[in-house]
Amino acid sequence: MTSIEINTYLTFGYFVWIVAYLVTFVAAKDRSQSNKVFWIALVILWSVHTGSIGLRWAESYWQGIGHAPLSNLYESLVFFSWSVSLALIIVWRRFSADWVALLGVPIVFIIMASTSLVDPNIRPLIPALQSNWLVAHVFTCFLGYAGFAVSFVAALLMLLSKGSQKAFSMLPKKELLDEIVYRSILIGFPLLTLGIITGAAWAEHAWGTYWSWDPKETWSLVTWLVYAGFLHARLTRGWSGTRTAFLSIIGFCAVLFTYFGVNYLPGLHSYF
Amino acid sequence: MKKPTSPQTDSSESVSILSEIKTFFTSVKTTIFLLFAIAVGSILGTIIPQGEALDRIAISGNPFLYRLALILDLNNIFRSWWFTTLLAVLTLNLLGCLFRRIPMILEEWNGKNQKSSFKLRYISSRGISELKDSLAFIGKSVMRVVPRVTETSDRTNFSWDKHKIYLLGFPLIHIGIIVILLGSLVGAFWGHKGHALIKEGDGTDKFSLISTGATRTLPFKIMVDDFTLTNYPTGEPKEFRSNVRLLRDGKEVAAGSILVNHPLTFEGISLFQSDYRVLGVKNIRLSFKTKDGGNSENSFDPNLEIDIPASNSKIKTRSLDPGSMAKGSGIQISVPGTTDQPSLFSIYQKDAQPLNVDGVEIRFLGFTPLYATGLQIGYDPGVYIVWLGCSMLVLGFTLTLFTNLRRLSIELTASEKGTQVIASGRSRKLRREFREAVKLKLAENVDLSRQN
Repeated sequence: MTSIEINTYLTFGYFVWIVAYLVTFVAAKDRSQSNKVFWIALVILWSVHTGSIGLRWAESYWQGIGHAPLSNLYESLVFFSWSVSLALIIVWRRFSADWVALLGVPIVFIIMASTSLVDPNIRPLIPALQSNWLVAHVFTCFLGYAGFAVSFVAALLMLLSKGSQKAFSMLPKKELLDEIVYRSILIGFPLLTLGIITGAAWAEHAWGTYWSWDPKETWSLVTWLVYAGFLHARLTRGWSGTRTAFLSIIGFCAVLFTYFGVNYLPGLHSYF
Repeated sequence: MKKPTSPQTDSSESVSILSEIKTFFTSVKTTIFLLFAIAVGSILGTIIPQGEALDRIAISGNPFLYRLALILDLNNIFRSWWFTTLLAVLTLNLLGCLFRRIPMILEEWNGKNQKSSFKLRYISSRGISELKDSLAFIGKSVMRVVPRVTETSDRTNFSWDKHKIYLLGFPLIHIGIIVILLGSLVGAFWGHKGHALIKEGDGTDKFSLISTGATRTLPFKIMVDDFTLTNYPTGEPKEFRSNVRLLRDGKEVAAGSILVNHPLTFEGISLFQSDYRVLGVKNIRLSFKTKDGGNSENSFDPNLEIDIPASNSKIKTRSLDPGSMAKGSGIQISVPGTTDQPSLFSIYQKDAQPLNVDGVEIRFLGFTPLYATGLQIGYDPGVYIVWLGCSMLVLGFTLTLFTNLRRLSIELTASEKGTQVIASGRSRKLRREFREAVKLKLAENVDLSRQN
């Protein structure tokens, strides 16, 4: 079985997980037992996900063009969903917050499903990407993005529960949601910082300029500034609840724009 | 932030303006505003096509918009006066906040200002000397470090500190950002970035600045021996390589290959592979098969006449055709005939039949283009300052995230009712758990009764 096939099954697996979870969420009275099962099931899915990334890495070597599977949109989407999945598992465990998965796993599923729209083939590395910085840069950026994604999920739940008290009565307390919105950014922000720094170091090495205000760079800075604003507002101005939830959502929009949107802007860096 | 009260007299009014300014530069409110303002400015810089915005607005023929674009430098936002000012004010604001916070951090470092997140009060009928050892033991079992002890006749204080280095996180992060901004300033003033297009076999010590296009001279000459372009079997580019030698006063001082992601640095000046151009044909490769079965293959200069082996005929290259996937590339050659008019032939790489001249079968094997390599030339003394700032930033984040500042202080005071024991402390992480651990240890080991 190839990694591409595994990813197809994996996408289906996440889907089945969501359906089963939703059914339990609505039907079951006491979910403490089923939650354990769902958590373990998610860990298993994530392990398969990890395996598929590892297999793709190996496959590229078997094809004689070995490189880390982080070099094109397909690979980055698979890795992005892997990171979000990992972040969900951690947050679920750490805060006993199973409902992050309620909104989080569908995001993982959507990202995985979207890989069917792009070219899944393993391509050789173009000269601009032939660098050891590739792994460090992509790893840190996407783990940071995963933190922001979880924060976004918690922020969204918070705004939803504010909107209609009744329908979301099963949701956790506002304080816990607020804590997750903040803690996830607290982890994501240094990772994004590291991602920008490794990117700058790489750019310096490849093009001789650590910063050239290229749209991708600029938007990563915008994302960084929004989250820096979030942290300062929260830590020193005492912002919390709805206001910081909005900032978290704005921040994640910036993340998505950095990731996808810059392709529609003028003056993009062409890789050679 | 506190607004200074507005007094009536003139002299204090100027004082109030000063304090307003001071408040502005030391306030985190300002920081948050600046962060978002810079974010908005950056977004504008990516939406408005930089370098061509003015032309576009000029075409649209709106004089007001044109003037606005001119004043706000919309063509070059990231170097505009207002964007630079925002960055400068951010730097000053960061400095202001640091000056405000550093004394507090120092006080905390020296143990003068000890914030505590909990305070537990107990009373015991036993005397200080009886309690001392067991309490010191408890503190040590929770904190696992040696305490600082201060003793007077009726009071004993143990205090434990852990991961005090956490306090350095905040200044490191913020100084780091200032250092990065300063480094970029150094680069903007003393660094330069240029580009040179050099033909294979040629050399130059001149390059043009990317910012202004002005010509500058390098302290050495770059000789480009050759440039090669390699593709993967799938057709994607695999490698761009310029083999260069650096000469100073005619003597070779450095040599090597420049590839993407593999620059060559000499005396702080770095040469990067940036682009390339095809200028012509360096050589063509032909194979000859003579009547007696002799096979030969050779590369030829396309500008010279080529002798056909075992024959008196010569051929000359007229033109090159990049060809197509089906035919391959091809050349047009002329064979001077017996008549005055030379006869012209086109031969392609994938021709089924070879060309026959004087009984010699000629095939075209391919050609090597003559390239000019585009090298980016960079000199930036500020880059080390930027990396220093980045390192501070990373170290600061590491300290902030991975150290856990913990303080515990147990104070024993002799009073009429017995010995009063106050345990107070703080923990950055797992605050409640820390408090409960201290409480539990106290309850387990010493016979104390809780007081409020």
